[in-house]
Amino acid sequence: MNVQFKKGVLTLCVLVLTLKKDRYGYELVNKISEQFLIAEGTIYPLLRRLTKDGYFTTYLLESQEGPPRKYYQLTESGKTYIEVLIKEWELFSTGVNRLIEEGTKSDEG
Amino acid sequence: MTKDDFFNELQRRLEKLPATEREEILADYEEHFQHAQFEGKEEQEILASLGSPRKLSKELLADYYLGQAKEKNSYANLLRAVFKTLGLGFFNLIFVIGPFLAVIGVLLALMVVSVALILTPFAMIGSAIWIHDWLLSLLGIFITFMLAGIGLMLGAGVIRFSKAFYRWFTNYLQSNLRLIRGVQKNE
Repeated sequence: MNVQFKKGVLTLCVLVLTLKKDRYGYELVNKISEQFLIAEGTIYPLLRRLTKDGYFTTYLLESQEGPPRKYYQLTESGKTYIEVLIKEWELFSTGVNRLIEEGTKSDEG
Repeated sequence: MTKDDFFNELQRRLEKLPATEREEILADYEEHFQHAQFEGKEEQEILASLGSPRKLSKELLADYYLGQAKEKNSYANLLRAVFKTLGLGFFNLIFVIGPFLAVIGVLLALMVVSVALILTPFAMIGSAIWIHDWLLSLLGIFITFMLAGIGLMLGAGVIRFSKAFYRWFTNYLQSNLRLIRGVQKNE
């Protein structure tokens, strides 16, 4: 898959996963790699970038079970950004779906 | 590859980053390892799914330079970031070889034209033998001498321009390499 495209989709995934609750890095990696095949290490650069851009703040939490966790929390600008991204994605995916529908229909006919 | 190899290579490849930045990155991966091992995953399994340090460091460096470009608003940083992102191969193909071939092509064509113009009086002298109208032959010789003059000037111009182009192009290549390697000239 195109690298830039994949990056864009991963950005959307990471942000949307943190919409309801804060999550830690390993949790995010797991959630995403359950859905598709990625080099898991690439999620961390993405998280750093989003933090630098001000969409996340982070905090470290010791856990009762297992190693300490670095949590990612959406900021206000992160919440606005994810809304924009979701709208863009919906526009994009309906467009693609329509083309797929048209394409497969004309193939049969 | 072992876990230590992974961290050593990553550290080496991120040498150009500020120490705090690099340590934060390594800490993120360290945490990932701890969590994965806590879940009972094997070291090799974790390494395989993480991806190669080479690929990860490329991404991290590109991000870093892009961030710098945004902060400092410097053109050089921006370019460096772009080149880092595109990668050396693609850059060379499009930005170096393309214009290079175009300029060389134009220079060659001009050179051929100039040589052809310089040769026209000889052709005229040759054909004067067959033209018995001496006035016409004289006119032809005059015109072709003029053409030869233009050819000489054109040739001299092309040679001067090629030299300048060569100098400029080597400088350009050098600065490209500097940009791609991320070495800053004046900082």
